[in-house]
Amino acid sequence: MQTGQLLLILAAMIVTAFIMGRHRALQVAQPLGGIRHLRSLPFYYAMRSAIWCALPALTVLVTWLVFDQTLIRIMVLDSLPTELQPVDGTARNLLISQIGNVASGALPTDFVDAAVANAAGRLNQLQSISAMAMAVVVIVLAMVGGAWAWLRVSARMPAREQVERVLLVVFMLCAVLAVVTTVGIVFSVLFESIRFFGQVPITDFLFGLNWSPQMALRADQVASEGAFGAVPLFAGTLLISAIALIVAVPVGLMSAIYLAEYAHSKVRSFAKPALEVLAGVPTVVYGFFAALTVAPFIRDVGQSLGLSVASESALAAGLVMGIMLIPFVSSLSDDVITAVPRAMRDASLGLGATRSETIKKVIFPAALPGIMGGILLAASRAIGETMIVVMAAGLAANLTANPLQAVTTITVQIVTLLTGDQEFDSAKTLAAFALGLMLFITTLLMNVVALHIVKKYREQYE
Amino acid sequence: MSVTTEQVRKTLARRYRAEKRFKAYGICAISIGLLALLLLFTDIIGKGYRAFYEYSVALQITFDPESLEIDDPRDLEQLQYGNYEAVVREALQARFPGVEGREGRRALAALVSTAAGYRLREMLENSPELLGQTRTLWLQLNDDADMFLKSSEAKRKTARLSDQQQTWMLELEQSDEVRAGFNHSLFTRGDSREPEQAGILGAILGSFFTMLVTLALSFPIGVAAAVYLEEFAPKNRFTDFIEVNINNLAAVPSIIFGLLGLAVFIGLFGMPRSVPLVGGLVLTLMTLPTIIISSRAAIKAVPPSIRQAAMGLGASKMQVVLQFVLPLALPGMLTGGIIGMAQALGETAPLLMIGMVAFIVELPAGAMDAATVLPVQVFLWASSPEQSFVTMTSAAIMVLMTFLITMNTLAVVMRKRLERRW
Amino acid sequence: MDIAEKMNVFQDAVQVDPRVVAQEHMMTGENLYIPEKTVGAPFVDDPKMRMRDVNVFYGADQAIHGVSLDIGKNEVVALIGPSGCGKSTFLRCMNRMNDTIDICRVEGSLHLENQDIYDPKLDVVELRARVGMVFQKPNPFPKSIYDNVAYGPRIHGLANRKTDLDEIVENSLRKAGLWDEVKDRLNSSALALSGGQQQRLCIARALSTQPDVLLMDEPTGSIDPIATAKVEDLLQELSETGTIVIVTHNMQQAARISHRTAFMYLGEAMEFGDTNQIFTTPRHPRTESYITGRYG
Repeated sequence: MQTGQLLLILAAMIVTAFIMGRHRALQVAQPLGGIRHLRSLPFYYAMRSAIWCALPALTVLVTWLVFDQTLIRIMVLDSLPTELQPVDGTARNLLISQIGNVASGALPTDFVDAAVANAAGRLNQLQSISAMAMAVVVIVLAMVGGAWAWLRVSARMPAREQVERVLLVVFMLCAVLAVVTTVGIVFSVLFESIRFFGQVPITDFLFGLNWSPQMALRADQVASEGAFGAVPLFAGTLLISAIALIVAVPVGLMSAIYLAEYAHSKVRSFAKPALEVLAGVPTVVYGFFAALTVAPFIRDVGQSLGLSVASESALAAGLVMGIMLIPFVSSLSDDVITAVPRAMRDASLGLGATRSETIKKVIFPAALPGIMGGILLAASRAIGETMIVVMAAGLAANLTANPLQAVTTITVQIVTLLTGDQEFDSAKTLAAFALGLMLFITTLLMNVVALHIVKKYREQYE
Repeated sequence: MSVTTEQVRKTLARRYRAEKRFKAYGICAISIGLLALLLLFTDIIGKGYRAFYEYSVALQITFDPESLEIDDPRDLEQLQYGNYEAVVREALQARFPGVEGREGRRALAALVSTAAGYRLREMLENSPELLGQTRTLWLQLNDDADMFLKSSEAKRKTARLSDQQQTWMLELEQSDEVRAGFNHSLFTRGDSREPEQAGILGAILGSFFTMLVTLALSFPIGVAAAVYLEEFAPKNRFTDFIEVNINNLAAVPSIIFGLLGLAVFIGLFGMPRSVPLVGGLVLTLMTLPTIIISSRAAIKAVPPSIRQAAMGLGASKMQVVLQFVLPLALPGMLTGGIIGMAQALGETAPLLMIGMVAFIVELPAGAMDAATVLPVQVFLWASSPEQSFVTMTSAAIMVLMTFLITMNTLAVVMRKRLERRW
Repeated sequence: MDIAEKMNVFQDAVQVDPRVVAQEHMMTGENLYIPEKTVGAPFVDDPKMRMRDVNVFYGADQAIHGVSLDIGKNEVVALIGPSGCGKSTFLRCMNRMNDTIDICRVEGSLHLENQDIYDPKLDVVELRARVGMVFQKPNPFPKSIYDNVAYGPRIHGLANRKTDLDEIVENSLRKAGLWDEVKDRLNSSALALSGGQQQRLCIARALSTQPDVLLMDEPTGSIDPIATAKVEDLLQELSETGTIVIVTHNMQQAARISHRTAFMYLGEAMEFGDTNQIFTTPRHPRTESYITGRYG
């Protein structure tokens, strides 16, 4: 039975439970002289029945769906004879996909080992058993739950309190999901990173100057281990982010100041949404723009000036990333600038200061912490930005500070290492997670500091 | 006149110069921003508008049973293996009788898209009586020929057509045997290796299913979390911790969510790669903070007097929240939801991590079918070398931007219209 | 700056809708005589500032209706009246602080020593250096005490040397009666001062450019009574040497420190005369009901 069908059946059962629960509550109320003799409204009895019908069944359903594939896979692999047991993770993945292909009919059985064909048969068998069992368990649970709740309906039962308590727990779980996500991120990158550092020493990773993760095909080849010195990546990321910030901070800040302090309301009502459109442009579009328009343009200009410019120069990626960050910096600056109390402006203007003097000498210093926080957030975005650099920055890990050369970044390497043919568990894929860990730690620190500064700053004027 | 006035006057010219300069910086900054926007849009529209129409050529097609190797058009197997290219080739040779040699004939045949064969087969399948008859048909051109016709005089010299092919095309153009029409395949097909046959419908459907999953999960969960934090959560360190987490997650790079999806959904739970369901799950986690933050703001904006009035009547806290606060806060929440969806719709990086970069021709029919999404399609096409794919990429971007701008406008309009003044 | 913020600034001016108030009076049966012109003595010979037929609009709303009066040399003029009567708005016309509000429009003639304040050729920076202002809420900059007072002289280039600047700062702080309290911590943040000290610091800051006229918008409106007493002492001292226009809610304060008092009501100047006369024998019935506490 398909999961979709099962869900439909379950939904129908929940609705039935609701209707029957309500009916029963009304029935109970009738001899007592109306629903006001019930402790809760009939709606809550109905909700209670529906919850009893839905919650246990859904919990089991979700858990089942999450874990059945993994379990079945383990069982199938265990059924293979010892000589076919995979030796490492790569072989394991290969074998699993082979069995899967045979089972789905994509690969004819006579192409593979008889044992593998058997395993494929077993896979199909287990999967249908699992699906049947799941359907049966879920439906029975829903029926039992609904029936139990239905039987328990009584005038004195605090149905509303119970329903509300369940809802509250559900609401709380939703809020806790944020924590779960963070924990999930930390663990998913941390575990793989630890495995990576088991293969490549952490000092080599953090301080190595050479990055060439291409594993050699034959063991006797030079650099068969690959080199995992991430310094060129860090440097490249910093270079591109710095270019982006050099563009975005002055432009964004001055735009915000101009719009907040000078611009006529007509200009503002046009320019502000226009900048917001810039903020809504997907990064992949910026990447396209950088790779196909800006980078060739810069290269041509450089050539006409007699400079040698790489076709994937850091300058192009940085410039476009700067454009992307303009609205971000400008809206954050706008927030902090308008948060400076009017009284400060009045005091300065009242003393005869010009507008620009007021801005430069009073508003800007007062807003500085908030602006710094905003810049830090922008920097964290620049470091974590992926698509622009994937499309417009290079792959070669050059250690250079020349913006006209091609550099690579952390995010570019994560994408290159994890897309294309993947061998799970190889140092190459694990390196991506180690880079992810670095990225997460850096941006997390920057965000925490930035958000703290911004919050403190807001409190100051509240 | 006081001493002060005199002294102030002396400084005035300098100060007003500084004032003007400062203002000019501001105007410069705004102009840079607006110019960048203008440049971006003109660049993309300039590159992409040509993908919305395509050229086809008028050919006298004879459904010759011998060339087609079909004697019974009702036999599906025969139909499937029919040699439709031969018919097209013959029609082309009939139009340009002087072409000699294999090379020349091949060059001539290359002008027409391979999609023409599918079209002929479809026609024959629908009306078997066509067999043996001759029809004038408008057939889709190959992308290079198409690009040649779309290009300006100056650019035609650099087109990817041989001199001979260019002369043929010019001849066809002068005798009005080619015409431009709306590019239907752009909106009716999935990806393809042949630019003229590639479309964005597959990506649009993929995006649709992904967004469906994201919306179905992130909006209810986000609203529930916001309600909890704003109305029920005790003021303790755990609640603070949750809040810090949400604020940080909102600023975590999206690619990290992709790593999470890869490690947990695919690695740990064994979910399949490239499917909208996993994409939706990852994007849900990514958009949740946005939705929670905006929903909280919307809940905060509901004045306490309404809560007190309802509670004064003996409603429970939960009843107050569900029956009064939520309906009043809903417009704000929906606005936040749309903005979160727009953010998710434009997101690429995390989806690359979970394998939504595969080359998929078939149109997905559900959230469990392998699919790609619009921004990823843009990424994929952007890295293709063909000039036509650059045009297609820009066209896909235009479609994507249309969706995004519509969503954002909708959010703004909703905020304006449904905004309640208390 | 957003519209809501602007609304805040002049909410004082539009809080009371004149029509509603007039209606209220009709309903309570009060039938008061409303004169066309300001009663008393609104004009003086050789005034420091001369205002004639001043009208102020916020968008479509008129906040000041044809006010005409003079500010004499070296005199302290108090503007009193119920909230929303336009006294702050009128005060802010005198150094064109209303310019900072986009939708505000000022009509009529305002002169400072024969110079038209609203002359397009007049420089507003120069004007504000000559007509200083102290606001209701103490608004020190988030800088050191020294920098707060030195701000005006610095932007206007009034001191060529550090010692000149030190002198100006010390003199201003002495005039504001704050010198002894802060001379040891001139470099600590002004925000660390108490509310009353902050307000005296703002007065010192306003005095630092040696303005011809000092405008004070309820300078004791948001500080505690003890601090108010100190500020009032200071005002009394200042009144001996300079021209001051002070808006106040506090009639005792007006009586104590001002030479002449104007009573404003619903955007009009009802009565203007010697402070003693206004408080002892008001000529206008509305002035009388205000100072006897019937409304306000």
